[in-house]
Amino acid sequence: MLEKVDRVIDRIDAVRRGSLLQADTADALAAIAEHFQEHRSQLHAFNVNATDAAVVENHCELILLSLFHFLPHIGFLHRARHPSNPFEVHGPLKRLAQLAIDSDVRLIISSEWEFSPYTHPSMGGIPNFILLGLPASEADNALLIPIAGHEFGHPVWVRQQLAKRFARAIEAGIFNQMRGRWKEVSAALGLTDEAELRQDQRAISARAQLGGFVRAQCEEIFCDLFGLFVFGESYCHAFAHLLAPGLAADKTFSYPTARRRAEILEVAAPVFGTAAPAAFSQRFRASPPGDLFPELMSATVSDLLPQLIDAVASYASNRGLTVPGTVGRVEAKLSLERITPAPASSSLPEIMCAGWDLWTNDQLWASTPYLRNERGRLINDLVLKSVQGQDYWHFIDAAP
Amino acid sequence: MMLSDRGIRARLDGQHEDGTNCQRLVIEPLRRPNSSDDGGAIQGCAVDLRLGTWFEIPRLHTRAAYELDEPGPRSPGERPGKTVYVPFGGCFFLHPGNFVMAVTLEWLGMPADLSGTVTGKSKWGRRGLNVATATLVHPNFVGCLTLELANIGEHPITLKPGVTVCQLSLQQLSSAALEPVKGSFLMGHRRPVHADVVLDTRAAALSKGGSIEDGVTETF
Repeated sequence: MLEKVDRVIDRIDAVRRGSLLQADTADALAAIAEHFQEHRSQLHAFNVNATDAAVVENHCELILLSLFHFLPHIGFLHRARHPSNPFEVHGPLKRLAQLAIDSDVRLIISSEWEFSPYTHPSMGGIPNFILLGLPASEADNALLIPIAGHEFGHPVWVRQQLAKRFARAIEAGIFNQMRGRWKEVSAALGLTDEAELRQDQRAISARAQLGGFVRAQCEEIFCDLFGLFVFGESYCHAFAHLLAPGLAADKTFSYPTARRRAEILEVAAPVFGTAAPAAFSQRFRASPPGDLFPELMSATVSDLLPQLIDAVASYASNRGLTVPGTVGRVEAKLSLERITPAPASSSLPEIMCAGWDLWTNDQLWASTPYLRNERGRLINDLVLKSVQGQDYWHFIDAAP
Repeated sequence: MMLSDRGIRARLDGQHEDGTNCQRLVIEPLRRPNSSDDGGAIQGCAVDLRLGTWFEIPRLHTRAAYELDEPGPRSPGERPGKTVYVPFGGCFFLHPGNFVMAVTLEWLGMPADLSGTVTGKSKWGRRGLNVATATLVHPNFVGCLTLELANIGEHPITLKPGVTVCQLSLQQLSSAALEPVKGSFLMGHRRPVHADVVLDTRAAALSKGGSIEDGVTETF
């Protein structure tokens, strides 16, 4: 085991010695290295003759768990140095995360060889780090940065103890849904009396299981809503770019279907004072009628939606967050159309919205073939240069 | 005619010195938003430009030689060098005899009736830093300028993003250029970019030793 620990520490050191590591990445690696160094010290401290073998074995199991847990993170941190990453975004996005979550938040932008964005609200044991990893094939796509808004939602959900706040409403909601479809529920669970919904072990177990899934779905919806609030319409575009038209085979119960998530964004957008793209949810495949229990979950979540929307809006307002403004977005759009970086007065989310405005404009630079041919790359570079301009003025203004 | 500091400031406002409107010169970031404060970058007849955050280091071990008539890379995946990003606050050490491509921090947007010339700063030149060899900036150019940095001095040089690394002087053309120059794909980049080689039919003919019809190279 000691050799395994030495090897992982050596590997972390190799990544840390690599060129041009961002400060947050370096700090995360240092924290992980320290974690394994503590394990190593503990192993050294065991007295071969005196220590109970079971104690050593238990500690070795802990180390093994740490290896399973941290190795993907180390790989993620390794890839954070790859030049495909939109490095210019790091500073402005981190400041936005600190405004949205807390001033102690650290941010690491990297990529993952999975098409589903690899996103962790934190690394277990290494708190306050938000990891944002786009699929490797999309790592340099600046227009997908709004997906970060979803990831900001997770630590907010945890720090605000929203699972606890919603627990009772979730439990009551499931109970009411089950009672409302009593015939089907009783047939599925083998119950005979409605009172058994409270007392029968099968009903209690089903309610607990459904409650877990509904809680997970509520968290995901909260995060979608948070992304929508912070990044406005650009969140919807980024969401659709990654997920549309949705996977028919996607049967995970921890998430609502992509179509349902899109419908929820459509409902919430006007409440927040922003807008979803036209016919947004139509970009996603409609799900066939589900089984009884998924339908019960979906109905419970729908009932809770107004409270979730309200939770996002009130939290965001308290933190001083605002939805992307029209003026900043239009100014940024006009600049980008003229192949000029957006003005410093436009916020990061406004720049993202403007970038999508250009991307979705079929007539953009239609009369200028050499611009038209490089449209995607050019929008990307303009957006990132605009964001870097924000970083520039941030440092200039912060200097004494 | 080379523009003076007053002329440059006027063009940044989209005007000629006489106050008539014209196509705006873009250099961003330069002036503080809603202000004429350029941090002292515009002096005499030039604008100081700062070092950007992207560098491209040649990969010597994967290439035998450059052929001047070969097509260049067209995407980051084809880059013949290793691309690195150095954030503000970081540094890049350029050792004697080494070469690296870099970019200006500023994004330029040249009007159709202006050209530019990039030259080094004496403070760097005297320390052995050669900044640019292809120094002409064509009218209608947009994007960050690629710089060819070479340390021809005796000591390593520490390059920090954000430092003033070169200067751009601007010349008024006799008339607006009709169209962008060939190789316009060089435009609109935020990272160092390799110049693709535009098909040069005359060079192609000459490379065949005058036997362009049958493609046979005559030997003597």
